[in-house]
Amino acid sequence: MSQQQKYAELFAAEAREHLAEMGRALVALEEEPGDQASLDAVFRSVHTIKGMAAAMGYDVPTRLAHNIESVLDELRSGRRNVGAEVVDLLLEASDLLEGAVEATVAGKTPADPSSAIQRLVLWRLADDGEAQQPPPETGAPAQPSPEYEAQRVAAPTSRRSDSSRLRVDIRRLDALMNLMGELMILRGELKALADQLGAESLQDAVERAGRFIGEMQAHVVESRMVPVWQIFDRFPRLVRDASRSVGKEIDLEITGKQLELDRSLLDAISDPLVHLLRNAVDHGIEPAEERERAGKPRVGRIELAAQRERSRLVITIRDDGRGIDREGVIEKARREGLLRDGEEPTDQTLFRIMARPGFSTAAQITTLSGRGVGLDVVETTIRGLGGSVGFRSEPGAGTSFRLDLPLTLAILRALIVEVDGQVYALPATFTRESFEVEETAVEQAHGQEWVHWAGERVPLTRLRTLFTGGEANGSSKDGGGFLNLVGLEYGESRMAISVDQFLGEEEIVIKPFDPPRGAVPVFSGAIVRPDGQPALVLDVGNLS
Amino acid sequence: MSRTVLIVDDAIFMRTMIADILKGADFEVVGEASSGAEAVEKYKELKPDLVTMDIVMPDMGGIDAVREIVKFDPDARILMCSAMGQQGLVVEAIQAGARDFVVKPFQPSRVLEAVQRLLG
Repeated sequence: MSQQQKYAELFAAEAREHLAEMGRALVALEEEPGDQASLDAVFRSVHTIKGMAAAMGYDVPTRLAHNIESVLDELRSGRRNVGAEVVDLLLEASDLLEGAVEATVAGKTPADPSSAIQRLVLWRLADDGEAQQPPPETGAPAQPSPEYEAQRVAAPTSRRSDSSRLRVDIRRLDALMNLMGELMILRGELKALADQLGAESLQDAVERAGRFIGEMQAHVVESRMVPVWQIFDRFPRLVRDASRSVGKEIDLEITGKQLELDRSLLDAISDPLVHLLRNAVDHGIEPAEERERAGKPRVGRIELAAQRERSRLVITIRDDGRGIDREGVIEKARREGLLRDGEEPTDQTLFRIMARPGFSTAAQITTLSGRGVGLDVVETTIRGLGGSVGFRSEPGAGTSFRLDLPLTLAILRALIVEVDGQVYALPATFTRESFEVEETAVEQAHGQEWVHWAGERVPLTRLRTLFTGGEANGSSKDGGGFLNLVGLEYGESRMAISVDQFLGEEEIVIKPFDPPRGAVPVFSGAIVRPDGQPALVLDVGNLS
Repeated sequence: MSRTVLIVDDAIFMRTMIADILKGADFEVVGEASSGAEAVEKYKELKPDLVTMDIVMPDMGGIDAVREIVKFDPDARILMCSAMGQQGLVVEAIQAGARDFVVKPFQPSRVLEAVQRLLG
C-alpha cells in the first residue's frame, strides 16, 4: 500500500466516523437548540473533516466542510440562534458532505456542491446577519493564497522505510495466490498421471516438485497475512461514539489483536464485526441505572478477542449485558411458524432464527444498528468465507458471538464425496468424521430423520433426496442397508449427511460461484478437481 | 540523537501525517494524544523536546492545553497546527506560550522548517 493510499484509507475511516458523529450531534441539536455541547461537537467534526480533506487535496469535501464550518461559527459565536431552518440546512449539507466524501474516496467525481454552498452563504448573509459580513465566498477557504494551492496538492511523498519490510499491492498477492491455486491443482494432476504411468523416476520428481509447491503455497499464504489490529484499532472509537450516542457507559477490551489473518478475510469481516459491536452497544449492554438495579457494575463491558485455534482464527465478541430477549424471539418465531409450541430451542437455534433475513424483534430496531447489515448478513458473510458463527446468550449475564474463521481464504482441505454420480466437496473445517450406520438405525421424529453419532441424536440429511428433490427413501445406490454418513459440526450444532461414497480428501481452491436460478441453495462455490472435472462445494451452514 | 516529539491531534489521520513528516527528519514520536487533557498528562509523563498541538479538540482544546503545559514547563516548545481561518486563535495560542504555528493542510517542508527553527 502506498503512503498516499494509507492516508486515503485513514481519511475514509475517520471521515465516516466524524460524519456519523456530526449527524448524531445535529439531531441532538435539533431536539435541544441551546445545546452548546452538541454544537461544539458538530463543529469539531466538520472542522476535522475539513482539515483532513484539505490535506488530501479533496477539493469538494474541503469546500463544503469549510462553508458548513462558517455557518457553525455564526451559531457558536452567538451571532445567530439555532433554529429549525438552519438545522435543516446543516443536515442537508452534511448529507451532501457525506456523499462528496464517499464519492471522492471511491475515486468518483462528487456532485457539484455549488448550490448547497450558495445556500449556506446566503443563510449567513440573510436577515439578522450583521452588516460586517465578509463578501460571499464560494470557493476555497477564506485566504486562498497561492500557498494554499501549493499546500493542498503537496502530500508527503517519501519516508525512510524500514529496509526489511516492503509494501506490496494486494492485487499482486491475489495474482500470486490464484496462480498458486492453479499450481496446486496441477500438482494433483501430475501426481495422478505419474501414478498412472507408474514410472518411478517420474513419480519421484513429481513428489519433490509437490513438496516445493506445498512450501511455496505456505509462504504465499503467509505473505497475505495481516494483524487484526488493522481493523480492531478502529473499534474503541466506534464503541465510544456508539455508546455515547445511546447514553451508555461501556468499556471495550481488546485482546489478541496481533494475531494474523488473510488480508481479504480481514476486509470481509470488518462490517460483520461492526454490526455485532453495535448490537452489543445497542441491545446488549443495559443503561447504567438498569445495571445498578441488577447489581452489576455501572459501566458495561464488551470483550473483543482474537484467538488462534489450530488452523483457524476465532474472534469472540462478548458483552456482559442483559442477554437476548429469549421469550420475545421465541414468541415471534412461533408466530411465524419457525418453532413448534412447546419446543425449547438451543441458543444456536435461536441464532439461526434471528439470523433469518428480515427477522427482528421490535426492540432490535434502533437508529444505530438498524442501519447497515443485520445478523443475517453477518451469518451469510462469515459462512461465505468458510467460517461459522456460534452464539450464546444468558439472561442477565450477556451475549457472546464466536466467529470461527479459516486463516486463509483460497485453499482449504475438503472431503470429496459422490452423490448420484456427481462429485461434491465438503470443506474440512466442518467435517468431523465419516461413519456408517444401518438403514434400520435411522429414527423418525418431528417429520425428520435422525441418527446417533458420538452419543448424540443428530438430524440426518440425505443429499440424494435434497438434490433430486424427491425420492424420500433414496438410500445409498445399491440399497445395501448401510448409509455412508459424514458427521458435520457447524458452530454448536451437529448433523449428519448421507452420501453415496467417499472419494478421499483433497486440497481445493474455491472459485467464486454464481448458482443458477432455482438451484438448491446449498453450494458456496465450485472447484476444479485434479482430473480437470468441476465439483460443487457444499455450503454446510445452509444444509441445516 | 533523535529528538522526541508528542503529537496532539484528535484525528488519527493528522497524527499519522505529522508523524510521517517528523519521522523522516529523525524525530522519535514518543507519544500521541487526542485531546488537550491527554496532551497535558502525556507531556508531564514524557517531557518531549517538541509538541505539535491541534487547536480544536474535544475535552480541553489546544490553547488551554498550551497554558497548562507552559505552567508546568515554561520552556516547553509547542508548535501549533491550525486550520485555515483560525488566525485569531493562533494569536491567542502564541500569547498562551506556543512558540510557532503551521497551517493545515501541511506542506512537509514548512513543518520541518518551523520545527528546526523552534529547536535550533
